[in-house]
Amino acid sequence: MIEFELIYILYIFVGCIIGLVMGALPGLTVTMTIVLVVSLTFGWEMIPALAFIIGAFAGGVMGGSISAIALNIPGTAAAVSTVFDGYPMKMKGEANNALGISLFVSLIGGLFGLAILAFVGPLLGKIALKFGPQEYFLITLWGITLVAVLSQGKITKGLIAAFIGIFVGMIGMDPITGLMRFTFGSKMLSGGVNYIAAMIGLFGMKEVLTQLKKSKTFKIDENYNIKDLIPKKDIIKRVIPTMTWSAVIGWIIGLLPGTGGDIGSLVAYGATKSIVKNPNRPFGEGSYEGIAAPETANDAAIGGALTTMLTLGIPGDSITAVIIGAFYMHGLLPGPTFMITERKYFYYILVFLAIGIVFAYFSGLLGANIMLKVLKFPKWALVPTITLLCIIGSYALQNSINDVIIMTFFGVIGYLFEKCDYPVSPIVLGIILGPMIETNFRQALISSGSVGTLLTSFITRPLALVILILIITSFVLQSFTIKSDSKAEADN
Amino acid sequence: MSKLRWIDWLVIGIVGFIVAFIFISITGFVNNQGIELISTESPLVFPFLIGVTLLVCWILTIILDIKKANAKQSFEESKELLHDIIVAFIFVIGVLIYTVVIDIIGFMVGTILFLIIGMAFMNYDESKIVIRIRNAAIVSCITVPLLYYVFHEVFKVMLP
Repeated sequence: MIEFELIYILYIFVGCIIGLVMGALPGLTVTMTIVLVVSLTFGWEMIPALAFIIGAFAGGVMGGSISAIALNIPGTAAAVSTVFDGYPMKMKGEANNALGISLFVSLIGGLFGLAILAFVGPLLGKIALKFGPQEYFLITLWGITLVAVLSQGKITKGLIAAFIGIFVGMIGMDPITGLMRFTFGSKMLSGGVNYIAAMIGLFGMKEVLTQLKKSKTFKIDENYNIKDLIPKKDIIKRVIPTMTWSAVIGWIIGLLPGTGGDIGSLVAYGATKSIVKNPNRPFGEGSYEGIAAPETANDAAIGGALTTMLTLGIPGDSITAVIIGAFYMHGLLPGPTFMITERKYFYYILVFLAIGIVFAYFSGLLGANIMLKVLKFPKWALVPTITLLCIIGSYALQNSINDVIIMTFFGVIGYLFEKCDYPVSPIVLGIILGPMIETNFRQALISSGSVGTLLTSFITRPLALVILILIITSFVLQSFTIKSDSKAEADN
Repeated sequence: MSKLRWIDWLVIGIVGFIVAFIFISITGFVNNQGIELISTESPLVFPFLIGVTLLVCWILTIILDIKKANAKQSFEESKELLHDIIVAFIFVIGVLIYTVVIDIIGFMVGTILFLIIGMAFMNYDESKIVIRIRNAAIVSCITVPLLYYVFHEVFKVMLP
């Protein structure tokens, strides 16, 4: 049983509002929001911190669609496909319907993902208990290479980013022999690179540097009628089938290591386009199904990504990578034993997320007009303030200016890499998963006795073989996914 | 003849430096400390594999980038890129100066100054510099005490 205090609701609510606002602002990603929110919780007890972070997560994912519809600019990567039909619907005078559908299906998709997590999580946890180092090595490697491979058209750059992340994770003391490695002779790096400082740099500071580019504040002059944001019965009836398959697609894609709501929403959009033959309007011109599919999928993906994260200890995407980092920081260790030793936290997470998703829905509904005003918030005031938050957040980690320097360094690296089309998320996944991959690889190597025996064990161990088959299958499926994503984007 | 942008070469250089650093460090460990490279218990075997993979990806990326690069990059594009990088560079220098200066002049004053400069620098909505500074001063004088209160008093976060 879990003890629930009413104050947790307040933490979730505040987190949710922060998430909604920051998720709605173009350029401020959900990942960046979580990174900054995490920095507020350093000194907190674990459960309030969990409530706050999860609230921001739920709010952030839902907030992305507001700017997608109002400005034709997705607030988050997961809302990219919402733009395809959301903005045309707004241009046809149906902004209320567009946002109403988006909020409603997000609520349903999020709750669906959560229900499956509650059911599948414990089962997967039992299977994960049977994993040895071989299985862990394969599954972590799968996660990191998938992220890289999903960096469409730039696989080698994605792999470089992932392996640089692993290299950063190796800086400091070797986890098995205690040997000091790759510290550049600096005492500052002897304890390794603080992954939260690196994350704040790669997601926060990098974004700040990107936003320095000349641009003016958005001009929006419209208002939502809150009553009209509740979708009409006939629209709901129409989108129910789309919601059903999109929720399943989103959850499954969220479950795969290395993929998240952004990929899930694009795939669901592509699938809906091929399945629905008679939409209310052609896709790309303001179809209801075109909004329902991506919005359901990106929220259902939360449950899928959390399943992998909590039961296997592997972050599904950059957002869960940041969340897992925050969990580590608060002493929570997701992984196979999580369901046994930390079972109550699993239920806390479920309850907090359910409340967060419901809050995000009602806050989006009641606060849609305030959200539009937030979009008009001058960029010149916002960007320096976020810089300040990045500095405070990284300093507060260990009350050390060194972490601010590390954060700034990673911000510059992220900025330069992004300018040259290198994806940044694999670096973060590499930093988080690197030590896990190395430890399991070396344990597997030591127990096997030689590289040859280790390679053979990937086939002779039944679970390792299953994972190997899954890896091959997922890579084959991904190639289709990439094709369908490109088609969906090209068509719009 | 295809041509890579200078920034592409810069990032290629950074990755190349990391690859070289991995191999030089490993060589140092093998030669100076006598640690075995290829053995099941070696702490260098995994970094070596990462180094090799990075090296392969690095070479492939250079080849692919050169193949894909536009033969002609317009003068405007090149100028805009340079402008963006210079602005980012100045901003980063500003951040580093700020982290050093707040130790001397204190968080409140240092941060207000930092925000005024940052906000005035970024205000593309307003062309007159006096109005930019005035607006920035008003916003930062409200924001900083508010942030101080929220972080220090409510969330009990240590500030620089």
